[in-house]
Amino acid sequence: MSASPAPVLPPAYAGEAAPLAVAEYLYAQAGKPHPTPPAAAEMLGDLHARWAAPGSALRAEAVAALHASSGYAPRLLDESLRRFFRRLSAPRLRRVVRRELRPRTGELIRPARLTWVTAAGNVPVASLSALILATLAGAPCLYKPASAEPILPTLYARSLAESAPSLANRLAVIGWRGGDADLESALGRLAETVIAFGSDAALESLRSRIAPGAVWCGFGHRYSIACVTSAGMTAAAARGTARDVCAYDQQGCMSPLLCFCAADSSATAAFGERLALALARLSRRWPRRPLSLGEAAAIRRLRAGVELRAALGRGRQWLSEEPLGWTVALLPEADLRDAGRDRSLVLISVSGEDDLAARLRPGEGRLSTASLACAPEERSRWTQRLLTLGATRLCAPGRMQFPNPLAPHEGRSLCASLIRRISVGR
Amino acid sequence: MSRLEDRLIAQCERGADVPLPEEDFAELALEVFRYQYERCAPYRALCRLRGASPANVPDWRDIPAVHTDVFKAGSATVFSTVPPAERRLCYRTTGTTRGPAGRGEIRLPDTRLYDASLLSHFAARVLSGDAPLRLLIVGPTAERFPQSSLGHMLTRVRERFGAPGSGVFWSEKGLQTGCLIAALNRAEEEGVPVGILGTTGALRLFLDDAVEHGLRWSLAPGSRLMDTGGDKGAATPLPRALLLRRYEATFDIAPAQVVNEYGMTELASQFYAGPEGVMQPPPWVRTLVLDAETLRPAAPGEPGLLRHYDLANLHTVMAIQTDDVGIRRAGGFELLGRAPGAPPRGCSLAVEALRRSERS
Repeated sequence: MSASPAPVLPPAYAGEAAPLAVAEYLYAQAGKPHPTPPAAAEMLGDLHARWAAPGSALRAEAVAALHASSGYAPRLLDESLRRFFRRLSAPRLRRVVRRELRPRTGELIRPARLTWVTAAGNVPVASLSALILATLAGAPCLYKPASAEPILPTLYARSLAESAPSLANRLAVIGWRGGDADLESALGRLAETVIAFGSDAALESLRSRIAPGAVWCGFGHRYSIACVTSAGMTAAAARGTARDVCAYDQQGCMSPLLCFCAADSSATAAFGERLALALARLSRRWPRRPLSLGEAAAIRRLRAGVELRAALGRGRQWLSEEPLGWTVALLPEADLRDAGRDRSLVLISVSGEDDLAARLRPGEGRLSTASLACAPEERSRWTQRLLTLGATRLCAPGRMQFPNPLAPHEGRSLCASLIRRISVGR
Repeated sequence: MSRLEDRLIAQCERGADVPLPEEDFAELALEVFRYQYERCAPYRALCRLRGASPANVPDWRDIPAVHTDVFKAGSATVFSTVPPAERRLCYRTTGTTRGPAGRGEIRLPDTRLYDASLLSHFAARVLSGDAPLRLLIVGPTAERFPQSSLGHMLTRVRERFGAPGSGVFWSEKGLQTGCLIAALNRAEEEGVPVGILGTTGALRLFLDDAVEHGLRWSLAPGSRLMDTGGDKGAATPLPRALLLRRYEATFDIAPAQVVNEYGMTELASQFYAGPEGVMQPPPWVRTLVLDAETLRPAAPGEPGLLRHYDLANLHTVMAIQTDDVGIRRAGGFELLGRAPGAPPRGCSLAVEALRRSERS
């Protein structure tokens, strides 16, 4: 990883690039003239159209920088960014303003005085929607990018400062070494909303530092799964699941770590075969990023266990031709603890929804996204069961890593946390 | 008892300073491979899956290796070349990924070959000869920890090389500080050299106690120290050079007289490093440093995963793929530690957290 990019500060800010000084400046912006959310929707929509346009220079710069820093495939990055910004168009943003940022009868709304966003992980776009929604709502936003991925928020904020400086004056993207207790306690006293992504431990530490009246949106440890029934084991489902596995190499909390197959073993094996074929094809378009020694060793560990079970007739495996390119394992007796990473997907045969629930028990309460491929008549039953198991998002195979950035995240609306509704009585 | 085992024992007993030429090692390795392929069903199944058999593996480097994690598959899958009725001894690894049931398991008919390898190499690298030495043991023993291979090692070493006055200062309750202090005092008063053998963790505890109470000894010339297990479990791990200085300050044992042992339950043989930090195998072991991604030899100076070919592993599997990371050095390798898991990635940590919570 190269050196962190320079912070992006509000255009009218003339002080030093210190997080607390910047936060105080942002805090002081509340109440000053600022574009309304409908006006902001137009300005942001224009900018996002430029990001999503064919041959966009903004996107090309981001793809090149992200590829150099993370190793993710340029075509994956390009598609991910294009889809992301297309879904943040002016009409869509207008709809968000109408639905979530407009005062109801007898109400006024005001943006939160200071929103502090702490991002995490190395999946680009994962927490960028928090920054964009804060800007839409007019909430001054101090955005601390993930140390592993500061590039996209920085480039986005720069593009905003150039195209809409009036909006950008309520935004700063600035990093610091996490865990600075004095700084984070001071920010915690100032922020009216804190949106944090990260490990449970990091969130727990951060939460202890925020003001009692502040709105807290913490997004901690989660995992995601794929579910497919025998009726859903189509070539399209295999291609979609391969996309979910290859998109960001299973690094995100919305990446499937396991694929539960409600089918007999021969149908599951046939699906494994299809999935292997789809992974082989997709890996040519989206090659895996380079692995660290630790990551490679982890895949070797997983493969060793799978290989033994396969050798003893207790499982099957499909391996990429290139070293550690991808791994598909069919392990009838596996559960959540057998989950893989870096394009390693374990297929588990389950007898039905109850069996699925039992296999997920070790991770109770942490399920995020589930892809579901099944017959139409099975959908309602499986959907209900997945919701009961705690899934906060259901989607078709192939869409797990491409969520709607304006939809609720982990079942919660970010917009609601970015404004305060003031009841105005007589 | 097989003729092959007799040959291997004889090889070990020739001494760890007697080189085993490459062609002799290759011949023995291929013979051991055939022996294990024919007698160990799970290993044969793995080899068949990889399309490897004694008929098509001409180079010992291509003998299929078994990952250390595979030994944790449970009692139903034991990598042993002897029938179940003859598996009289059981050693278990300490690392777990699935709680106690996931501990690795090694089953042996006896320890003749293990002991031949152990004693020969220990004499050469730790004692520089086979004269008895008063051994002060700060680690597990076979009596108290019968499933610990380290316990067996320390016990056998004491039986073979321990002079009168040797003792064990570690139990289920931990370090027996007072008794060890008394033993060190006695050795110092009598001017008798000692060999302090123990886990690095236990020795660190003792060093901390000694420093806190201002204790230090001037042990007789010829004293030496062997530690094993690394210091990474300590609250504040010390760099090796600093640890050597602390040994010297407390025991008056010069760094040149300190060796670091590297071993594992899955291996019958051990490696020893002097102050320069190069782990030396005995002649009947070859170690490859492999690129983790390709499993081809790592580039010179680059870290890679260690794969050991230990002829003394006749009763289990000779070729062991580890998660340990090292760099090839002249005469051996520099051990860097265990390959880290996949690094934490933001909020997507649930499964790693699950595994961690099960280990603790």
